[in-house]
Amino acid sequence: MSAADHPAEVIKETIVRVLREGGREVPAIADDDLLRESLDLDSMDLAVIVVRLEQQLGVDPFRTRRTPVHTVADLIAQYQQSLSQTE
Amino acid sequence: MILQTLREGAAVRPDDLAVVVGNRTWNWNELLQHALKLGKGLQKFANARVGIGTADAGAVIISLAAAEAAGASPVLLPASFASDDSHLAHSFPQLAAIVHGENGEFSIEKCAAHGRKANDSPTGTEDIVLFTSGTSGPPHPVAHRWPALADAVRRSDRFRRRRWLMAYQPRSFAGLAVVLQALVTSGVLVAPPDRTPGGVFKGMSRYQVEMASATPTYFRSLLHGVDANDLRRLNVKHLTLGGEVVDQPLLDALAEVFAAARITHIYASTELGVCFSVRDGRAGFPAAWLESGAERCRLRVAADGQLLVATSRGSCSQFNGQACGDGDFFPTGDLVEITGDRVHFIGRQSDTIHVGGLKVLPARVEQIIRRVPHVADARVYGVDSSLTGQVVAAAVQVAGISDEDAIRSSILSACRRNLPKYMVPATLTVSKASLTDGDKISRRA
Repeated sequence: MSAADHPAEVIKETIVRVLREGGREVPAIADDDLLRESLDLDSMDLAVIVVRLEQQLGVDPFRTRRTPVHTVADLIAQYQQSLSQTE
Repeated sequence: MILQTLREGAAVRPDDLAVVVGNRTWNWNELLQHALKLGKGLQKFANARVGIGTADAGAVIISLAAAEAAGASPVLLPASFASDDSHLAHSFPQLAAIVHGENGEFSIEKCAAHGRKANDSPTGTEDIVLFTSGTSGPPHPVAHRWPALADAVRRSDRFRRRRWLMAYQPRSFAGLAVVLQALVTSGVLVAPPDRTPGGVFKGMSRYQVEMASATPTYFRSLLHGVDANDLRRLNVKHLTLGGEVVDQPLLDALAEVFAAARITHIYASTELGVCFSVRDGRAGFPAAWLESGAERCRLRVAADGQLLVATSRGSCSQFNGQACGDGDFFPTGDLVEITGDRVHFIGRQSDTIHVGGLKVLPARVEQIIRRVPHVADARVYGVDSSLTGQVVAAAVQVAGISDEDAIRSSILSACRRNLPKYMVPATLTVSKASLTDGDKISRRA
C-alpha cells in the first residue's frame, strides 16, 4: 500500500511533524480543526506541508487550483480530488 | 609554453618523476618523447583547433605539448563532453580533431568539420580554450593566453621542486593552473588513484605531497573521511582553497590539522583568471582592497551586493561571450557583505532561493548545517512551491552516525535556532552529497 492510498493519514502525520519541529505538540488532529486559527499554521508552515506532501503523494493540488482551504478536512479533500484525477 | 618546459625538464632531469596518475608514473623524458611523437600525428592539424579528450593529467600535459609542437590550438574539453554533444557542437563547432589518451596509449579522432581557427575565434586571439565548470549553467568556452596564465605561477623558492596534489580535473581552469604551477617550478604532480578521501590520502601519503590546492568541498571530505591523526602525519606545507565560498570554521579546522602549513584562499574564475589570494587565515578579504585594489585586479561592490572585478593584466579575454578589455569592471555573480574591515562572500547570485518574496542564500544555511556534529557537508537549494514560489531544501552528507531521525532533528533545530523561519529547510534528505566535475557542490536539483 502506498502513501497515496491513505492520504488523510499522511496529511495528518505531516501536519503533526511540522508542528512538532516548530516546538508545538498537539494531542490529535481533528478533521474540523482550522489550519490557521486552531492549529496556528502560518503560510510558511503550509508551504512546507504542501512540498512534503508532494514528495510523498506525488500531487500538489495548489498548482492548478486556488480553492480556499480552511480546515484539515478541506485540505484532505483537495488531495483526494487531485489523486482521483491522476488515476 | 608547456613544450618548452618539458624540453628543459627532460634536458636537466630526464629520469626524475614528473607526474603520477594513480599507479602510473611519468618522468620528464617520457612526457617529452610522448609529446613529440603525438605532435607528429597532429601536424596536419596545424593552425586548427584540437580538442583534448582525456581526463588523465599526464595525458593532458602530453596532449598540450603535442598540440604546441604541431602548431595546433588546444581546446580543453569539459569532462561531460561527448563527440555528439549537441550543445557543445552548437556553441563551439570548429574542432578539427580530438586527442584521446588512456593508459599511455594515444589516438587522434578526426572530426567531420575540419575547421581552421583563423579568424573564427570567439575572441580574436587565443592560445588555449577552456570551458567554465558549469556549476550553475551549461559549460561555455573561454579563450586564454599563455603569458597571462603563466603570470599566476608562484616562482619563489618555497614553491620550487615541490610535490603537488592534483585534486582538480586537469582540464579545468583550476586544474590547468596547478599543472602549470607544478611544471614551471620543476615539481611533481600527484593525481590520486581515486577521488575518495581514502584514495586521496593514500596518494598524498605515498608521494609525500607538500602542496595541495582544492575546493572547500574537497578539503571537507578529506577532513571528515580521514582520521585527523593520519592527516597530521602528512608533510603538507601549503594549502590553497578556491572555487567556492571559504568559511572560517573550515579554515580553522585545516589550520588545526595541518599546523605547519600555510593556508591561503584564492579568488579566480575560468573567465577572469586569478584575481587575488588571501593569506591571513581569515575568510573573505580586507575591505581596504575595495579602495587599494588587490594583486591582479581592482574591486568594487555593486548596489545589489555583487562583486565587480576589473583585471589589469589581460588575464581575461572573454566574459559571458563578450570580449573584455583591461580596466572594465565585470559582474562576477558573487554576492558579498561588508562587515567591519572585511568583505565576506555570501554566495552566488544565481543560487539565490526566493521564498515568498524573501531571498535566501544557500551558503548561509549550509554554514549552519555544517556546524552540527556528524555533518560532513551540506548542500542547500531551492525547490518549487505552489504557495511561496520556492522553499529551501537541504541534502546533507553525514559521517559516523546511523540514527537518521536523530541527525535530522538536530539539523532542523540548529536551523530553527539560528535562522529565520523561511530559511529553515522545508525538506531534508540525509544522503551522500555528490561532487560535480569541478569538485564543487552541485546545485542543480
